Amino acid sequence: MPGERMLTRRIPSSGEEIGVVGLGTYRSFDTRLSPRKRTSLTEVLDLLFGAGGSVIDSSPMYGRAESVAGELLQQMDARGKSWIATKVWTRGKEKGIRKMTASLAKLRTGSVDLMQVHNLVGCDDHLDTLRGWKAEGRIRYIGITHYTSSALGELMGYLKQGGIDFVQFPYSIVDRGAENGFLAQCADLGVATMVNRPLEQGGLLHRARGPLPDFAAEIGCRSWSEYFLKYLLADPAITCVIPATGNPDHMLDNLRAGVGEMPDRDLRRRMAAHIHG
Amino acid sequence: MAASRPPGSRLNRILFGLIVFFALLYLVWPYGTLTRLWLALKAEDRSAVERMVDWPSVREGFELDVIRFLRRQASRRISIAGGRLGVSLSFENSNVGRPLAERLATPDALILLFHRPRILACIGRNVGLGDAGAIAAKCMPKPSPAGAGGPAPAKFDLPDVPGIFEKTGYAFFTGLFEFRLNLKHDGVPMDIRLRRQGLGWKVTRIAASFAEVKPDGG
Ligand SMILES: NC(=O)c1ccc[n+]([C@@H]2O[C@H](COP(=O)([O-])OP(=O)(O)OC[C@H]3O[C@@H](n4cnc5c(N)ncnc54)[C@H](OP(=O)(O)O)[C@@H]3O)[C@@H](O)[C@H]2O)c1
Repeated sequence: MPGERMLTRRIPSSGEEIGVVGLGTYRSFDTRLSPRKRTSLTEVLDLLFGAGGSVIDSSPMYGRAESVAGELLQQMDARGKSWIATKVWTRGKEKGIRKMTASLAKLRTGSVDLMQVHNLVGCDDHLDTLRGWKAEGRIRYIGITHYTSSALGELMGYLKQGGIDFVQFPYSIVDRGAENGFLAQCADLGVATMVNRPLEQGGLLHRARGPLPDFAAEIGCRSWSEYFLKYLLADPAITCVIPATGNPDHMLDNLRAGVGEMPDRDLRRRMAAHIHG
Repeated sequence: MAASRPPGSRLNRILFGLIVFFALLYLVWPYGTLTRLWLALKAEDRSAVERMVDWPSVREGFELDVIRFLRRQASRRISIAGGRLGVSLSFENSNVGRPLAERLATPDALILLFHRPRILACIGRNVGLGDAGAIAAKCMPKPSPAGAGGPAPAKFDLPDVPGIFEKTGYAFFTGLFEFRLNLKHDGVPMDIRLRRQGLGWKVTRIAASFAEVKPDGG
């Protein structure tokens, strides 16, 4: 994909544009940095930035991931190229402040772009603090997340209260709960959307081992991961997807989903039917 | 006079020795992780515990265990009531699985579970309350402020190896990258699974029973 720039989407609350393919860090960055790991993860980040992407999503829940991302970004002198999202995962206001401060230290930065309440844990304890931090410039956006589609209603309850810039939730070609009004409501409310588990934690790629259907060529898909990610990105209500990988080849496949043509409504239907059929 | 060995065979023996050495090292590796976990739990070292567990996996496991427990309770009630009573209550209660799992899959809760494993039976008894917050308030006391600041002062205590051995049902590799330990902690049966992730092992499952614990015989 040299020369091709990644598609970007607007964050409704600010108008800022971000690349549609980002990088998750669960498991892939939760590792000790052996020389081999350091090389491959650096390459993964290089590919992301080279393609015009910037979003990196982490959490204190992912073991070493924040520290590893922070160390690599510092080593690559790439804080400026990155758009960092992390989370607060604890109950209680004071504990939340301690944990978020620790996250910033691990990420080796004085501020992050997005701070999200992880799985809505202690959400009411943290929202005030997050508003304060946003006003002080320690974070630029406020978000909430969940790992299961059964919590979309709960997420929407918070979004309707206002003041939240981003929502992160699971959505994939086989987990399409978000299509039942949730995405449309996010668009109406002006909330940016970040998709987690877009590849069903890799499960989709284990299932789909055969050749791609012929119609995949219509949108230039060369791999299954492109197919699965383009299916999601075709909806303009999606701001970005954050597949996790520690493998540069996989990163390249994922990044390709962010360039070129996206499937139209009819093709999307065929893509989903092919997987379900 | 002994004939000198050809250099090739010596190299082979060194190679063989190295392979055996690394294989043995690999075999004891998860035990090392479990020992470190044991020490971290005992010292209430939250950040160490946080690093050693794959929280999303453990949370999903807890959720599964809560739902299974509720299902078993429901079917028992159905059989007691001759299939006429009790069904709707249990189905309503299944909403409690996810929020309860989220409360259990945290460093604080795991430390609490290590020191007071019988809170699981308390959760089992109170699951009918149907509200994870109320169940937690009843069964999971908040960590003491002293413990909240960080790890307890490091009084280096070696694990009680004979005690651990006595508690352990079995411990073995279930695959090249998977290890399983079954033990009874304070009489509560637990099944702990580890998976190798990068250059370390992580706990991916703590299968626990919410059933009432019978006093150990004797
Ligand atoms: N509640 C929350 O806030 C929440 C919940 C879940 C996830 N998340 C975030 O969302 C991110 C993504 O979700 P996820 O990591 O659970 O699942 P995912 O992105 O759907 O899948 C990641 C898995 O897919 C594999 N993979 C990625 N690209 C591939 C490719 N092109 N070809 C083959 N395999 C590929 C990866 O393995 P390799 O490393 O081998 O490529 C990894 O095992 C997380 O990392 C995290 O940042 C947040």
